Amino acid sequence: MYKSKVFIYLSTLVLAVLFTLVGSADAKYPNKPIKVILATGAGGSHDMHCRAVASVIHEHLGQPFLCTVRGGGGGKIGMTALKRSKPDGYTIALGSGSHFAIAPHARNMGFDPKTDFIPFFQVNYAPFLLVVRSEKPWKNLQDLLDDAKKRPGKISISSNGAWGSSHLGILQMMRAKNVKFKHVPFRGGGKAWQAMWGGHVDAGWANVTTGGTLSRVKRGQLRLLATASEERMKEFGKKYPTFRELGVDYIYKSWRVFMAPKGTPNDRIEVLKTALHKASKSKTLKKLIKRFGESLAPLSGPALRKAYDSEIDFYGNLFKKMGYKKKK
Amino acid sequence: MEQIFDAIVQAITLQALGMVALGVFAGITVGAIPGLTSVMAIAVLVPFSFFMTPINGIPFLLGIHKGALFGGSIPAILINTPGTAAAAATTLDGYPLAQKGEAKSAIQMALYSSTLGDTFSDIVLILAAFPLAAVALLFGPTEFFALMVLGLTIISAVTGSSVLKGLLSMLIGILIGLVGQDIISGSERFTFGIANIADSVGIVPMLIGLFAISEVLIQSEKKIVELANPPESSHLKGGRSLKWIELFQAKWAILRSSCIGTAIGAIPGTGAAIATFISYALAKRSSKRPEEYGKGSYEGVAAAEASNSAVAGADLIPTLTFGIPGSASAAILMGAFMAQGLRPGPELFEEQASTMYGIFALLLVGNPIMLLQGKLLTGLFARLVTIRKSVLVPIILLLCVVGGFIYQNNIEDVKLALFFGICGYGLRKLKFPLAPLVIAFILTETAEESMKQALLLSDGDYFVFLTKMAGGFPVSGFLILLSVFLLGMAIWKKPWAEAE
Amino acid sequence: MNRKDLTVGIIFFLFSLIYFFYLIPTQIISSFAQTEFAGRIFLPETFPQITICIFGFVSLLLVADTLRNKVEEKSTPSLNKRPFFQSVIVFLASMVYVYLLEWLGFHLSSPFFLAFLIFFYGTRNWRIIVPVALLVPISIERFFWISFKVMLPEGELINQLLGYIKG
Repeated sequence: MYKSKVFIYLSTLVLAVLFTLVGSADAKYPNKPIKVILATGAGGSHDMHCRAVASVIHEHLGQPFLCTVRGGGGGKIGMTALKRSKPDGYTIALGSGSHFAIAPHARNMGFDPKTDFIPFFQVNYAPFLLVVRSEKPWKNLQDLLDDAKKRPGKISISSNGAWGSSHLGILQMMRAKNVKFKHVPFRGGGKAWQAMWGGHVDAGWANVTTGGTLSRVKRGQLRLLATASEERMKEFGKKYPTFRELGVDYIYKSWRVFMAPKGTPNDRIEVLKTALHKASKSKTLKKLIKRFGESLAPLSGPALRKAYDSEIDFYGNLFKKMGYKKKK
Repeated sequence: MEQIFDAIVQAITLQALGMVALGVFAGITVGAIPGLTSVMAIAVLVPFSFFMTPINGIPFLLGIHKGALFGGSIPAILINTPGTAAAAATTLDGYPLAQKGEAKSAIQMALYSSTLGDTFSDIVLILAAFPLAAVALLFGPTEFFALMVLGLTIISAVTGSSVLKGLLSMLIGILIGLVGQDIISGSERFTFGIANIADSVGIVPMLIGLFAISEVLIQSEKKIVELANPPESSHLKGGRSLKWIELFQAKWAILRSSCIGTAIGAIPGTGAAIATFISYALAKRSSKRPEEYGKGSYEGVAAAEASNSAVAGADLIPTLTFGIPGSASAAILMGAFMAQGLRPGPELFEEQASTMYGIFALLLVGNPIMLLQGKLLTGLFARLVTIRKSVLVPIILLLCVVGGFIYQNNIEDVKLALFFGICGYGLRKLKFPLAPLVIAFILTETAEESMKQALLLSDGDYFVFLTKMAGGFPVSGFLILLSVFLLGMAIWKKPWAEAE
Repeated sequence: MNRKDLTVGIIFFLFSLIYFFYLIPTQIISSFAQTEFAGRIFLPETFPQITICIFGFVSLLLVADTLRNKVEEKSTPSLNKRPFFQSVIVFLASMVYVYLLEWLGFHLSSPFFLAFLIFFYGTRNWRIIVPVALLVPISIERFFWISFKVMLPEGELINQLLGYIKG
């Protein structure tokens, strides 16, 4: 009886090994699903964008995308998982600007965004907007800044966390215009927006989808003071000024970009890129993204790489100018 | 009016009903497995909904949300492990009932209360979403803090016999809650360089460890003879059915808890766990038989479950009215709504009223469907306790490990769960109550942040918690005074020299 | 007096000292934002400090309470050798299992884990052990894959082996 037990265990072992071997006999890339790591949490626009792309990519790639949420640590867990994963083109991530461009300057994330990852396809981006409820007295950013000069430290602005993307915007405004705001950090952009909408803080940040900001601005419930983009946003008919126009050097574009770990072979990246470009022309995907209130902005190749690097440098400079010293 | 009627009739097709039923079933299953969250389930299934019509796709996902909040009570009752954080309070009375051999009736009570609670909040959603949302918006940092204080005083109701140990347990919960990132200063606290807890300790691995794994370890102490043979209560086949009178006696608890669950669920940023603990404690205070609580009170199970299911419907209120999700699952649901072209906000109910009413109708219908499925599944689940422990416990332990991994696709969470397993084991052997720890843990993060945010806004004025007006009513002050009152009553009733 | 509670109280008190004087200074990695907020309440150390002070105080109360309670506890000491030993074994087995999961993957480690535990708990009948140990892991994995596309650990060692084989 003992012998038969051993036999059973051994044969299970052998079968298991054979099974896995046979299963992944190497055919053309890709021959199994691609895992997409989401370093942000579940829910949220990142997650939705990933799943939207995943729902159409099968036709263009031949294999599905598996969106795997690996949130936590401000992106640390997901991005370090990407860094450690095998660079065979079967594991990629949908990166977010705050994870690769801002957080590494603020604390030790365990990766170097420039050398550890290869960004290869930008889905779109959503610039930050500084908004106030329409009952508030400030009609534009200049009004707000003038008022802040008169009453230093009295006007409250919420942010999505200390040393996060929106906090930097507040700091830049304060530095550039020599004014003082009351910064109130919240855990995440949603809560920060809620505080603004509920009238608990004077001003807040959003992108076009947070709380339906796009339609609220159009309907006059919210007033948009400035946008953190390079050019005036066409979603708003180019009516609203950018921060740069008004003398505040602040950009935050909340990127969604597909990234691969360093060492992933170029030809496999090309396959993914082509498939993604094709997918971004698909009507279904366009419709889905539009429903989220955004639009696609596919970008790849050297232009993307340049934008990526300059984004990281931009924030590095910002932190340095503020005298921030990264611990450990 | 006729338009509404038409919309509803059009919506209730066999196909749509089938989708709801499927969703509810999936939800119950997901809720019943610790480690599987409805967040994950909804997230995975959302892309399928992209290609369905709104009437089919959305109710499917909503069904999952519903089912999960009931499903979480099943392991809470059977193995003292909440399947979802929201079911944490259900363990307090559900598990003792199961140990007495009344697992089936306990699950049925959970089922009926869940259905009633969910129906209540669905009706409120349909009738009063906007007014309620407007009230919910009044909750700013000051009010949130006051609500957390109320939650903390509730702990006095669940300390068990030793007040000092309950207090220590609560403080340990606070200390664990402080681990992670401090959003106000941007510092990392007590993470010991471990990336996994860099922003906070995961609630799911913690619950799995604290409750399930500690239970496994406690069971491991039993004599081999006892473990290897079928349990003595197996002849009961899991227990008897719930008697009508027992359900009827819990009616006030259910009603009260449904109201509390709906109210708290409508406030974005508060979770089902908070609602369920507050409801449980208030039910105990108003009960005619408070001494039963903690030892196997059906009323306790009813209060906990009605409340957490009420959150299911109420969650949608801030989500749909102004597009701020009340919880992670609501966030994903919102994405699903948007993908269907249903943009949250006032337009939703104006321009797309017919679709919304159809969805609401299906939402309501989901409740009796859940009831039906629950009744059929209950017998099956309750039978599980008849499996001999020597086989059941290893499987449970395996599920704990798998569940801990699946939560965030991270093996480190399993190690975290094991760590909490030892902690839970130690605490239980030393007769420390676990409930205060869990409640304190859940509340600490929001309490600390809200307090600091409120003080920032008030420029350091501590009196703001008592004086701030929200909508013409000192909400924060009211909640704080209520907490002081409840705490005072608790101290009054409990003589200090308590015999253990 | 209850010796267990007394020990616990003392240990907790000592822990609060360690926490206050060692852990708080070393484990709070402060950021630069301190100067932005005036007031001690906003420092990241404040809440932990307050909490641990209360904790230390209450643990002393616990010690005092046990000393005050003159009634000798007649309860059976629950740190009995054998039962405790059993739970330790189970825990160690779990730790080994988690380690194996990373190296050998789910399918290879789980059957052994289950088989060991069932055997340890007293059921020696291999007609029960083998089917359970083989079927349960497979059903779990299939269920999670088919319904939620969740992948369970594949095992580093296996991946490396496969890497070698494929070249």
